[in-house]
Amino acid sequence: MASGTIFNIQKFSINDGPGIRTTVFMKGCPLSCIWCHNPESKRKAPEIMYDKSKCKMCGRCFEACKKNAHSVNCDLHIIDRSLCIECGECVKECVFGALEITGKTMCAEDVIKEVMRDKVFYDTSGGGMTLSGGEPMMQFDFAFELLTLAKAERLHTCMETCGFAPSEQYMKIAPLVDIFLFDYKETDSNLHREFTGVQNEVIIENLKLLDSIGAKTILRCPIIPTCNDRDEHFEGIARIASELKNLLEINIEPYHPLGKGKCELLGRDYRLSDLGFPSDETVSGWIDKIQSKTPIIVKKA
Amino acid sequence: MKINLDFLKKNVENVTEDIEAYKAIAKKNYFDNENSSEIMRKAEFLTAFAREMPIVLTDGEPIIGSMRFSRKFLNLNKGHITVDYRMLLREGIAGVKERISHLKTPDGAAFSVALDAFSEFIARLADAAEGKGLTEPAKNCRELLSAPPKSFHSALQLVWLVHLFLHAEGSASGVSFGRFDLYMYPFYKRDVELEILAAEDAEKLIGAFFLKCCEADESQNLTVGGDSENELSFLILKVCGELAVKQPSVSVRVGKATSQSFFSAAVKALTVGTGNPCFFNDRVIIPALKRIGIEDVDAENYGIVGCYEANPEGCCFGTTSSAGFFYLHDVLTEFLGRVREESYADFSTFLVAFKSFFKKKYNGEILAYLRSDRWEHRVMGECPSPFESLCIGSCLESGVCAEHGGAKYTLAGINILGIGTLTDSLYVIKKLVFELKEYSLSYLVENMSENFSDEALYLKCRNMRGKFGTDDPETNQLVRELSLFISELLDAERLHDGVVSNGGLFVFLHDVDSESYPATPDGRRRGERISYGIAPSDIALGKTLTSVLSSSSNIANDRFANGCPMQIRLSRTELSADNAELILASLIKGYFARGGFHIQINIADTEELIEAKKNPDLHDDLIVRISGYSDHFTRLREDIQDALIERI
Repeated sequence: MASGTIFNIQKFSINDGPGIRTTVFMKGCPLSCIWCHNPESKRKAPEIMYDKSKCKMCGRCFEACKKNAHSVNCDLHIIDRSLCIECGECVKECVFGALEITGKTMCAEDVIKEVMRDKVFYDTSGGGMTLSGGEPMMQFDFAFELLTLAKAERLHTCMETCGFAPSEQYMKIAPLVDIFLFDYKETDSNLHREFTGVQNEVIIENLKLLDSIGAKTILRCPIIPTCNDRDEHFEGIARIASELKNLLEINIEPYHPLGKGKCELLGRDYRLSDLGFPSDETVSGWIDKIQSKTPIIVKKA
Repeated sequence: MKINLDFLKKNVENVTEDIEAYKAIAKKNYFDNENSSEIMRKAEFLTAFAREMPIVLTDGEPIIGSMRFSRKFLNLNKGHITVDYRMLLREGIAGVKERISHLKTPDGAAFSVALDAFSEFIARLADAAEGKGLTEPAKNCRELLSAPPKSFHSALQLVWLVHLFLHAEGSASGVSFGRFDLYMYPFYKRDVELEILAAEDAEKLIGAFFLKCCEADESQNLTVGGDSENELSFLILKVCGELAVKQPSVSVRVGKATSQSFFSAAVKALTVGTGNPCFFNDRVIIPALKRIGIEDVDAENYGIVGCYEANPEGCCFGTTSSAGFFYLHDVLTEFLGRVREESYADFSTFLVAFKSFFKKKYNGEILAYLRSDRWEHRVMGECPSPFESLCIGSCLESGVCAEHGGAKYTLAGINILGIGTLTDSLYVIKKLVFELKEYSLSYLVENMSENFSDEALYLKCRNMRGKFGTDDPETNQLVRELSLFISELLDAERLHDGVVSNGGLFVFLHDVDSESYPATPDGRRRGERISYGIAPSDIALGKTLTSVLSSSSNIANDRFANGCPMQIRLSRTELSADNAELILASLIKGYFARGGFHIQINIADTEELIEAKKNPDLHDDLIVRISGYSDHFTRLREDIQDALIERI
């Protein structure tokens, strides 16, 4: 029985594929997008999240920590993450909810048991389970088992993926996935590396490969002002769409700055400091531009 | 007759009526009338109402008779009935008069006076309407005096006049229309076949009827669907969605005969976002009614009364809340107040002791009250209402008014509040005291009675995971056990004179009226709201919409025919135009498949509600459903607004 690290099982997800779904968020991602809104998904291992605003400086966590990772410096509560072994002892003591551990190890069977609690709503809505992350393909064996079990329960399945994984793994997992929610982040490969840490050739190859074997996809395109809100990229989205036979629709995911707060909780730097929510007009402007170049339906995710 | 709905809509609230005149008539002819029997002085008050009440008419209205006087409750009758409109429409005023003339009972004499007052009022209304050029409504009224209605228009007029007169008699609440599409359909069908009524005219008439309902400030329930689904049911839903007014409260019965297209039409109306219509599950409600002794044919013919109460239509005196209110959090805090010492080996021993205390308290308070002369006097003696009674078919047969037991069924409604808060409280005690053994029971109880002076304890209680509403197997099992226990308690003892106790898991608005409710073990501090209906507590963490619905379906919904309300809210931004109907329909269907009794859904964003609270003038059109009836959000009390903002 495979087990893996997940950081959330989100019930009543209505924007991650058709119908009412449960989204399983898996930890670990090979990309490091500068706009990442789920920074807690980046590392595969569980991590401590610390919310300064809830902390009452009661000191219970100092006593609980066997590695002395918690300390106070100039009235600031410091966590030395190099000492932390993510044992979670401090979290148990924190009654104020300032400390949380993100990520827990679960076996595939327990995850599916949890997912199946909403079965009646999948049946009434044509929904099911969505794997997301992070990048589900980072925990390939676990993802494969989750999908196998889901299929045994006759669940509709979606997988959100950044496309950056070995092609043979995609070939192997494709029969278990009803719809891939496939990220397409930047057309220019060098810019792609600048924004995400990797070039996009492998990703595009995987996308075309999946399409060639009949896998259904929805393109998910994060649009980030000052990064990829360029006409060339919009054209690139329409171009790649025209090359795919089994593409269902194109989803635009407008930038939102919610990752910023999470980076603070995790003690990480956030690299896009000054961007806010794009206005409705801006977003519909993007959608119109892309829609004018492709017959595939373009809509906000 | 040309009907201008926009004009009528504007006039619903612009026209003012002399409420004082109504009150003066009541004072002189009812309150100061010491010569007649209780039932007769009510009949005499109606005679005075018919002769003296100023007539108010609006230009161009197709249905006449103003109900704007009924904004302040006198509570002279109990309301909360579904009228036997099938009988009234079939027999007409003359037919009913003929039946009353054969009655030899003392109450029968009062029925006769009340019915004559009704005729007199209609005649006076017709005269005034004629004078104002409302020729067709005037003609309808005149014809109704001597014969049953023939046309759809005139049938609507009779229904409205009966409704108005019920309010005149008592100014009570919860006077409900019952299965409107069932009893109005023959008239609609006749007119359509004779080609004297087009669908769009029928729609306008229904719209005008809805606007008449908006004249009163109370919940007037109107039931559609179930096995009576027909073309008229669709028209009603269309008007409900397009006119988007606060009244009547439209209730959709979902059952075996419900077609996909009808269900979709109901969901479509709901997406407008007024909280109207709400949905009722035949599969659960009909057995719930049979369980308290309602005959099959009557149970299948249920209509919704007031907010959520299912009553067999036209033959039942339901007294929704006559047995008073039973607060579950009260039972628990009283029990805990007596058990300072640690005398329980484990949680199950503790639970047994709690249940036995619960039973004693219930028997000593509610049951003793229901069996007492006091109850007999308050409910059955205090306000016998002749007009209300002649609207219930079985009272016309018995010649005995509803309050004297004349209806086929008399139910004693028992309202029970706070099952979510109770479940969470017991769960927290189970975990913290008996399993984790982190605190002693006496420490928890003592600190709770100090409104949680120990912050760490408070947060542990309040933030505990797995509370009711999170679809956790442990709290699911606990809430089921509690609901079965309560329903068996209600069953155990039969009351006198064929009265049957009828439990419902809510008290109208009392979840919000929580100022004096002391702290509870679930980490709820004094004055905070308690859980409403069968929904979880606001403070329980980790809920989603689906987990809430799944959790609540573990409550024995089929044992509380007096109502198991489930109220949820969805964010408009989350629902996109192309998935809204699918998501709403799937939630309702899924919940009903799991055994839910009722569901009402508000569609509004938290931000939208906060903004409307801040700037009421800009958001007067925002209508929401609360506690079973719809109203303008901006006109609700502040604490009710807050409850809507904070609830899932």
